[in-house]
Amino acid sequence: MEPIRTRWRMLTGGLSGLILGVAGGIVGIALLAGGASGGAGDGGTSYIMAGHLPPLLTVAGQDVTIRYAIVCPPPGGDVSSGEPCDGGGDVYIRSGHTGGFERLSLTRGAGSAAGRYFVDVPASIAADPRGFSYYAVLRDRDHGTELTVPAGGADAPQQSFPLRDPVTVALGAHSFGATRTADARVADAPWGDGVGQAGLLGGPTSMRIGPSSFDVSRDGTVALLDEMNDRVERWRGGALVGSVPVEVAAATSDFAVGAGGTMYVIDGRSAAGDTPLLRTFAPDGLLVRARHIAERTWSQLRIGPRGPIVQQEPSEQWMPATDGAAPLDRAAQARAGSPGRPLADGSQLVVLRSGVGEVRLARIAGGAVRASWRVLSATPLGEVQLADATGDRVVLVVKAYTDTQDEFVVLVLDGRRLVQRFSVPSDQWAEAAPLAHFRLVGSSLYKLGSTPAGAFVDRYDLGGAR
Amino acid sequence: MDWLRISAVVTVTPLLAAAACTGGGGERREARVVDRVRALEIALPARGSLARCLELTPFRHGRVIAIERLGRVTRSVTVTQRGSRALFACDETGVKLERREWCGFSAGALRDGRLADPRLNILCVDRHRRHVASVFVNPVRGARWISVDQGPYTELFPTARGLPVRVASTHDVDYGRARATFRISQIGPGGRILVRRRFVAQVAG
Amino acid sequence: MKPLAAFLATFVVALALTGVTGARTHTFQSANCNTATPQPTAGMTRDGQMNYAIIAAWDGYQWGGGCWNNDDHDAAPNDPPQQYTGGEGGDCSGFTFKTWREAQDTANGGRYYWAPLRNVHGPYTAEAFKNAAGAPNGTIYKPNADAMDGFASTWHVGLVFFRGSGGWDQIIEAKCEACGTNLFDESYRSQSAFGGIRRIGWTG
Repeated sequence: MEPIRTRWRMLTGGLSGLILGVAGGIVGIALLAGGASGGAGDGGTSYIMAGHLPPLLTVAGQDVTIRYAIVCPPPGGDVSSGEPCDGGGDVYIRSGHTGGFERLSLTRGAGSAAGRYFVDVPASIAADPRGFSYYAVLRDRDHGTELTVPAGGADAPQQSFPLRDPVTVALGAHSFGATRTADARVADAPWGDGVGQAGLLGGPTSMRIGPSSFDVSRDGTVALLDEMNDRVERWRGGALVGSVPVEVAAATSDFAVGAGGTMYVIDGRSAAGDTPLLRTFAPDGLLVRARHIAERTWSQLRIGPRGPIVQQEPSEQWMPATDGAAPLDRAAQARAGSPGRPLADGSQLVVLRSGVGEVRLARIAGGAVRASWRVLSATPLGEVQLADATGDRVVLVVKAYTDTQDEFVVLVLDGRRLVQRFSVPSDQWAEAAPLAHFRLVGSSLYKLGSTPAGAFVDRYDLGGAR
Repeated sequence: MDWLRISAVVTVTPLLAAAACTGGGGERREARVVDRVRALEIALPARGSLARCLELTPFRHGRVIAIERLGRVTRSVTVTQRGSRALFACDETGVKLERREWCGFSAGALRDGRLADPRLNILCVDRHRRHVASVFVNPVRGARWISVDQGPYTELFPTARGLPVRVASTHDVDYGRARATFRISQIGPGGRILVRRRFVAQVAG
Repeated sequence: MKPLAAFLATFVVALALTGVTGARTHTFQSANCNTATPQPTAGMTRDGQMNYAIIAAWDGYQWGGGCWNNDDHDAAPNDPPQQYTGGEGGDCSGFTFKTWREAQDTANGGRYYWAPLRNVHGPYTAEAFKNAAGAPNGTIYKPNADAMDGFASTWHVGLVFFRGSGGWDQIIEAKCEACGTNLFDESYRSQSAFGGIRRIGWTG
């Protein structure tokens, strides 16, 4: 009997330990989880955002309505309830681009598809031959927060210019399938992480993201941002000539190469509550600087006359990140905002994709329109991938699309007419930064493309510029 | 034998017996349904029912490989093209979704002939208004059928052309959580069970 | 001593095993999210849902998800792609389902409010949205797509936040694990892989 009693006691002891050990483990996990978890956070309980499509370029006789979407917490209640907020605000507007502003109050409309809050621009201002300029102060009337759009306010108001006697180019209906063959393939990187390859993010049933951007130097060196492999690859004449490591986010970032080989990367993602970072790298890949851009969303990064420049929203302006070597803080970036991309000769190119099938383009110098174009298409037009100057000509690349087809249309324009026109395949198997598919260097147009085999850069020669 | 050992035997033996009965060990008789399959190569454009499925795919020219399976709950067509890594499936139960013959449509991308994700579709319902879950299953080498536990019976989906097999079930569909649990066996020649697996598929992407 | 030793030994082993198992199975969703009944709503405005959608920004991405808690922090970053791991955030189609206030019953075109912490994906994939499956879903001519309309391909869906001056769009989307959920400029409108989609039943 004694051994049996001992065994039972051991069995009992073991069973008790088992039960209490399991219970203790459960309690421990619950306590730890209670400290780590939480209910709905209060991130963003006081915020205000806006959407605005500025009438950058107008045509004769056009009625102009300025509209805004205001996104802010609803009155009282749950911020995530999905109720619209109690917004409002004023637009400060003037004829021309100097002088005082007059205040117009925004009206709240019934629909919000294109922005619930609007003001009709008085005809006298809309029709002014100099154009007009404006900014808005938007409000969340319930919580008291305000937002100025553009961010520079009176220092850098939005500017609208009238197109007078633009060169009109009627493209008609686009004929798909007749694309031009590239003059050269200057970079060709199969998918992978090896030398001369390009990284690909995403699986067979999710978004594919490949090299998100590139740039081309005057000597024809192609720099490909291979962010999935944390590097920039350099190609010349179709051969890989080098690679430098860069520390960048694995996201669709934009990229530009400046003077002396300095590289700039605008992050495709941002930390909570902050704006994206613009990183500056030395030619050897060493991180020199990382500074926030002014606004939450960007569409493209280029090199301007004074350094890197970023087109940003909701201001819908190009904002310089530096003034020469000196980085600009967010407020200074906003104060230097302009509607058009600054060019080396001091002019700027203003682009507006209007309606279903129209692009308006203007070269502005000295505050006035010096040349302008209207491109009209019977086939819907998508995004303007590139608008750049070469000599006295302008090169415009825009997407033509239907429900089943899409191609890039390349137009070379001078002050009187369409000089050249051709289409190229879209080759967008993997995602890149939205407006990073083309670069113009001299009279050569470069295109970043991707297929199931890999990523590549093609060159199209446009002929000499006059 | 002391009391401890006796009690252990008395306690454990029924447990073992119960495990044997529920764990698939040993033989048990159950109803089986064997689906029909046919593999076709079709020149485009197609006509009729298949055309309405192909409209949902990007295939417009050339020829497609279409694997049609007819089972107790669904009729499915798996479509691909030689040289393409895209794989599509249309599912129908005879109960239309908004007047559409094909109530389910799924797409996948093959990598080394396999799908990384089963591409669950739960939009179809059968005549009894039960939700139907359809997924792809990658066949292992030598598999002739994918056997799916349907509860009261087992359904055998034949493999074809080495492509992922479209299978369907109304058993263990958690519609509210957009997921379904499948208990499958892959069966080789002679009825040999090659693989047994239970997996949970989630509507995603 | 032997019973005590047996107790201690089994206690320690059980504690360790339970803790490890608990830690491995404890997820953001299991700890935070619920299965509350969605609330039917009479109205649904585009800017109201822009408000709802922007709350999800920075809260992460979870394939097959989901739910989020509006703390501007992804509690489960770096989840393995294309695996359902119970992390924070929705995926592209789950995010669209909740933002569009849809019912799980595909025949029901009504509007239902899903709280951010309500864990639901809905029955639709991106391709289902593209094909306008379900009573609440429709297609739209892409050039006409406006705020809170969307673009869907076989693999991805995103919603228009606002149009851009150069023809691109600000899209609010659960983009990928590495990208998270946020506002991104995109050119989906002009890509033929994407179709225009809309929610039927906006009231403003």
